[in-house]
Amino acid sequence: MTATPVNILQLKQYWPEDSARKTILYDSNALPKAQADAAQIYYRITYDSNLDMIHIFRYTPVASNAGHNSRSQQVEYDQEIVAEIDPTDIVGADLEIKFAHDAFLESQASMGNLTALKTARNIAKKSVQPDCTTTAMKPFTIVCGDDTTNAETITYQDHMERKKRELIQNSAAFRQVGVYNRKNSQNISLASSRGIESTGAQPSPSLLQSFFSSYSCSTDTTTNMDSPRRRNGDDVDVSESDTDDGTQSSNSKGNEDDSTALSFTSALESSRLPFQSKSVTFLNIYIYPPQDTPGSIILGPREAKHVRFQVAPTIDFSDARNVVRGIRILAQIEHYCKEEIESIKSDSRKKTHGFNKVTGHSKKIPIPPKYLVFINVLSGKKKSADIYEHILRPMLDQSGVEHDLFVSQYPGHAYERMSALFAILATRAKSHDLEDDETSNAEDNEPDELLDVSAYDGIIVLGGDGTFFEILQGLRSRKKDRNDLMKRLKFGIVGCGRYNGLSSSLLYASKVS
Amino acid sequence: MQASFLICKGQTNKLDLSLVHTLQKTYLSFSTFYWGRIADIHTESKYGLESFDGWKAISIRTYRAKFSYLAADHLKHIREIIQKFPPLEQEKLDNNWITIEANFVLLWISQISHAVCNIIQSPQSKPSDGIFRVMMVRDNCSRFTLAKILSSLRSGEHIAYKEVEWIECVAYRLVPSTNDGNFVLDGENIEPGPIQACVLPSSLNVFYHPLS
Repeated sequence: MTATPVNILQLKQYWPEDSARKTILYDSNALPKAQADAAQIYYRITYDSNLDMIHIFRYTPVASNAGHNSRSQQVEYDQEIVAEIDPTDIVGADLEIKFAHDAFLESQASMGNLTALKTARNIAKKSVQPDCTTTAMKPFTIVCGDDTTNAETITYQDHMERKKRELIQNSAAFRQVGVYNRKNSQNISLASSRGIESTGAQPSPSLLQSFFSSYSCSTDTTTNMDSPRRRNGDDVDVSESDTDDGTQSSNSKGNEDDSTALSFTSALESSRLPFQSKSVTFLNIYIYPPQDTPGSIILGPREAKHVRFQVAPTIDFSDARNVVRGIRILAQIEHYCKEEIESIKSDSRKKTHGFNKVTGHSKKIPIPPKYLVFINVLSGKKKSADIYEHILRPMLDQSGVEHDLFVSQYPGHAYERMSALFAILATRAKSHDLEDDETSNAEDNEPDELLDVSAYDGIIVLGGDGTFFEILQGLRSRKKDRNDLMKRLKFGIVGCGRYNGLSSSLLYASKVS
Repeated sequence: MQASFLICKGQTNKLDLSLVHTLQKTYLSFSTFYWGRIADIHTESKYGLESFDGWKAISIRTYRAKFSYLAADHLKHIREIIQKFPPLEQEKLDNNWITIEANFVLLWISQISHAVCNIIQSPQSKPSDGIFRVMMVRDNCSRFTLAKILSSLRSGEHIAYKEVEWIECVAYRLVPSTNDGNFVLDGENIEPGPIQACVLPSSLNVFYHPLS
């Protein structure tokens, strides 16, 4: 927002996967010894295993008297702790890569929104996650878009969002409540969804090199979307001054016309950028510390205090990915822990058996947990849709959990959704629609709704005790697989009803033991 | 907010359920069953239990019933008990069942500590302790005491009153002598009449985080 120097998180740290508990996230030797641009601020993340705390240090360069000709002189830094984070407060961490470019819109016009987005997503996927076993786990949010025209853009995520939104808004009950006001997301965002799967084929290192040499994230001063004007002029020197890797090419305006001519697909093949652009990467850590003194009780009112850093230019993202991975392990987020153990296992297997196992390895990509969220818009003070929109959905997104939404619109609706009859009815409705062309369009928009409950890993209820009771009875009515489901499914309840006995009890049990 | 946080952390633990039989139906229940005065309040009051006033709810009406239970030390054999659970029509129970026949003012059977977010009727209950905690008040209780008991439900201090009796059990059966009165299971009114239930210990994975 202000014209402060670029914040850079140096990511040359080493994060051993098996002994995450005793690591320093950042090696102090990696502090830049001789930086051309002394006006930069550096951040450093460490983990203290004794205190069980993650510390974030800030290094501000000390103003020296040596003058301007000291390009090779060692820069001294002031060290200062900016944040102390209890790892248990962290809900998730990810990398967010933003492409800010001008040519995108034009290609968009020629190719159509979704095609352009899909292609961009493929490119991003290929370049960013070449060997990532965790593609499906959303380590990256890739955001593409022209800053100046973000009001017009349609995002891939928005496309999915809109479906959910329509679902809510179409329910008559919801209209009655009328609490839906969420700002449209302002960028074209290609957040990974279940749709992104590993292609299996991995791009060669040389391809990556060439890609990144032209395209590695040069720092960009457009750290927030609210200041689009600054992109055009004054940031060029920043990216030039920051070429300590020697890999970036500065983003000259002259190339821009050529890039417009390039179509997305050919760019994908030639591994060249479809657009001349600057990109910027952020490390996001999502933290929800308790409002009162940390550590006193495990549960209390919490507030969101997210940390966001700009990542220094790197050759590839393996370091950054390791940091994200490490933070996730430290945070003891259950579904990540499992995933990491899996990947460590498969990594060691790969090492022992050589590299020919790579294809088998890529099949073992853990599927992210997928939850079904029940919303009873009628229960209690009718706040459930609001709570979903403002608390649960962002939090689930941040922790990398996927979910589908089900809006319970009348008493017994949730029961029907849970019961085994639903699957039968759903398939029947689908086949019926195939015969009848006119109605099939309506059904095509909501394919997710047809998934049976057994396809999910968990069920989250936004409602009162009554809604949960209904769901349990629905579960009981499934004679065939109810025992299996009861063992496998995870249930979460967010008390939005009048009584909230269960959620109160669970919170009470978490507090008093 | 807190609940969402727990969900995103992803740690689950077990929650007890119970299988509740009435003459007509079978339910899967997770929290409480109440009958008597408190159920009347639940049903009659416009706002339910959330905001009732103990001092206004002091009319004493007693209900005659036979309450049988299987004490909590049978928890080890719970699998056999679930399998050999006698049908409700069968009047005779095994010898290890204990039966109380009395006039009850209220009967409140809990698996979890809170029935409503601001009523902590069974402070000792844990989500996965595998037992029912039965709280009962018989007709030897004066109206004044009952009012005091009901008012202290919010703070959980009612457990100190000697009129409040506690039983820990793994299964119970309630046979009321008349079919009037309100029967409330998990906050839902169900059909009145004989009812029985047994614990299904640790049968559901729920997101919560017990302190160790």
